[in-house]
Amino acid sequence: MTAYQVHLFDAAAGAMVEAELHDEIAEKQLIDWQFQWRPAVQTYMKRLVDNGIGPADTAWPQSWHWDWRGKMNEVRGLLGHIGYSVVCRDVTQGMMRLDLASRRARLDSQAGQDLVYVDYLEVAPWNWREPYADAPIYRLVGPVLMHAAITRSVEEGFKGRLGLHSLPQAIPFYERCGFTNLGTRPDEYEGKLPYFESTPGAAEAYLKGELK
Amino acid sequence: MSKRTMTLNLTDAEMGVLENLCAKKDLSKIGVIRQALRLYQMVDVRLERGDKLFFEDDKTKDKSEVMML
Repeated sequence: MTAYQVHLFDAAAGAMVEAELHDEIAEKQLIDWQFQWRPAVQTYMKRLVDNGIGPADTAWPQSWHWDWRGKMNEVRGLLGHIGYSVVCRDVTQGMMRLDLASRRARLDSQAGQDLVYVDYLEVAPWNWREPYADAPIYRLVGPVLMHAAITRSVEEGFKGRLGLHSLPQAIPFYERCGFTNLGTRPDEYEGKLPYFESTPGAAEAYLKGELK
Repeated sequence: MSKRTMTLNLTDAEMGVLENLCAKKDLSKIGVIRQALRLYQMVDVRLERGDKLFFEDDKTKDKSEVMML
């Protein structure tokens, strides 16, 4: 495992703080997910229910059912999949699973080229910016993970090409990243999740910090 | 991540295929070989699980099974 120093924004302190980006999702991350993320999600969902918000509402967390232990068990030992995690003050703040091998680009300008596909990306529930959530403790967890995905794409020789299907709640984030929205397909995720893709140009702009 | 070096001897035909894939995929030789290894491992693991490997025609939706014996 390699750890890289990154920075998050500590909202309470109003200052940047040091954190670590790990190129793996280890047992420590899964324990944090199980015993810290899950209870926090349950608490948040209870608050939603108390406010009359149910599963059909757009405010309902769309990743609430994600089972990170199961997701990592699915790909354990496979060279084509890799996990990344962000740790700050010894607590996991975000996780991402990438597919390096089995997806191809769709944009006309790069159709058929290899890319890094973001299988899953999630930040810890106490960092969510949602209408009924408390103010996020740390910001920039998502951008740090996206930076890692694009960097990995460059390192693999994919020139920053990246693809992903976005949960509806995350669409504004990927639009801000400068990715192209290719829309939904009826044969993918019940036609509910739009597909986004980055080009080398969009990736370079992202890495340079030229976010919209 | 530590890396190890090896020498790979290929026939002219194999090298030709590798170079064509490099050009087509806009990847280096090592990039193509890494992708091939990842995919080969993924297919092997899925087949060992009992899954089948199919190609599907995007337009007609016709499926043809790739027999890996």
